[in-house]
Amino acid sequence: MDNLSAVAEDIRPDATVRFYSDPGTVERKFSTDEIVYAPNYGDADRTEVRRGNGASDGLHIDLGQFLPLVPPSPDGREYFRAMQKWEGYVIQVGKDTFTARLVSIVGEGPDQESEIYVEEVAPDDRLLIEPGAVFYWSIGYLDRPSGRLRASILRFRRLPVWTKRELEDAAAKADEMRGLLDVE
Amino acid sequence: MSSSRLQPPDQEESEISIFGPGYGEAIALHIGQGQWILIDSCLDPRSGKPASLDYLHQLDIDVSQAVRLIVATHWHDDHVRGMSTLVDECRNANFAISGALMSKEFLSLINLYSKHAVFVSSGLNEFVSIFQLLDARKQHGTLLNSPSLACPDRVLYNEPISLSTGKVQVRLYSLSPSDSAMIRAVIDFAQRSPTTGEHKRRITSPTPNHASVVLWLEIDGQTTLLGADLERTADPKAGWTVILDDSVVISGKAAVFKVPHHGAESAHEPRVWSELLSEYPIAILSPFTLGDTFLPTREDVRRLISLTPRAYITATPVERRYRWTNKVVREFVQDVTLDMRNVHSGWGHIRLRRSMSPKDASYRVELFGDATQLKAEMWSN
Repeated sequence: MDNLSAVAEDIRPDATVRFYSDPGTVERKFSTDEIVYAPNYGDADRTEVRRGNGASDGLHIDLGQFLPLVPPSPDGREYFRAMQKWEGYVIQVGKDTFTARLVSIVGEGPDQESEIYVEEVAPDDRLLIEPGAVFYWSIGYLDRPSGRLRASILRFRRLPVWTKRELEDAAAKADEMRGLLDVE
Repeated sequence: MSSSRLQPPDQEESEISIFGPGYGEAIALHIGQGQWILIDSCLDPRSGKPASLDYLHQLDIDVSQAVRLIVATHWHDDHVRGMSTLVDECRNANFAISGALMSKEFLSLINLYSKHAVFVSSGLNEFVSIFQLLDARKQHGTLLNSPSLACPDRVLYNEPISLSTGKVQVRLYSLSPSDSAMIRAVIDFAQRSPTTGEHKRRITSPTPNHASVVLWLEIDGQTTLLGADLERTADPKAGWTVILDDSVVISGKAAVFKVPHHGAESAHEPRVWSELLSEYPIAILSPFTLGDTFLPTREDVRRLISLTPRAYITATPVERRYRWTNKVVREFVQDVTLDMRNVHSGWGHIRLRRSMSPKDASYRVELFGDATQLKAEMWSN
């Protein structure tokens, strides 16, 4: 399997990371030495997950995937626990709100359609609000040594750009698929 | 739900079932002697399983043998969810799709968007899974036939059924997409293909969809018109006009009509009602909600019930809200959103059954779940 996109439910030493792949979904627990956190991208609540010691049963995590999660503090004494988390994509954009489809990936509830206030999106992410844009919305607790906070975090995925190789691979695969039309 | 829903049709009884959860549509046709045809697929929101397959399982039917044909009328999410499971389990069924969906442009698109999963629940993944299944069968020498490419007046199914009164022929024709519609669809796919350096995002479905596969079912002179999502167009060589003007396989008038595109005015062609349908046909449809689009609208409902008193819908497009059990979640939902509602406005199943002998027997209409007869006063939009 390759080119998996990873969605961590929460990042703690016993984090469960769910991989959406083709086909199916792979879910497994990772120990901290298998995941490298690189929360140094300017925003405190964005991190990158990548394979650490390589002992991951052949799973490969796309290094370009940014996850809209609150990373643990360096001393591990602070973490975000998601009670509810949706993956969403934008359908329509209005002046003060945007409409999105939401699929629950942590917590409860059927698929939702929601009109969300733009002001709930971090200023840096607002330019990303356009039809087809994908985001994550997490509701949960931020536990700190100083106490527990309720938190709602809505972050848009900064997806990488299409590469020439990806486009060429897809075209080649399309040619193979058309071979299905040649069944004796 | 009534327990009689779990009673399979008699061997000499035909059935037309439509399932719809508020976002999605699937159809199951019993063509006699335990043989079935499945058209499109949607998930039952209660079980998360493909609705038509779940139904056949509940009827204790061996789908690997009983399903003879699966048709994908078009690629929109609301018509393909769970379809790869249908193809996987119905191993002896042929698979039919619009010719546009075997174009290099469409296949490139699905390879791009499934391999680089941009969203967990994209319907495009269904097509990749289907083609992978078919390819695996081809490699193992177990693929019965290449996918059938639907186009005007093509026979997708043509087999006799033995009844106690003798043999009757069952024929399913595709009436679309026309050449013109297919060319437009392929151009649209090409235009949707990303270019190097462009940021990835979820692909959005095109509307209108003129490359949808309309089907004409004939069983011993009794006919059914399944309108898929085909809409009107100004192009006389596409949409409903070209079917009405050019089809040579249509004979007689259909007693049952699957109303196209969820009853939308954009899919309403008056000539279909006067030239292809019998007087007061049974009209069946499913609702659709996406963004600020709710179908059918109150006007659509009024128009439909003015054309036939026998119009039924799988669920009314009313807004339903989920009550979040967690107080914190409930409060944030209230603060962060102006509105939040369930995608599915309900779930229902309309079932039409009639004896195949005598051939002019009338249909028995059964409604399950949220399915109901269309009434204008039910609509709030």
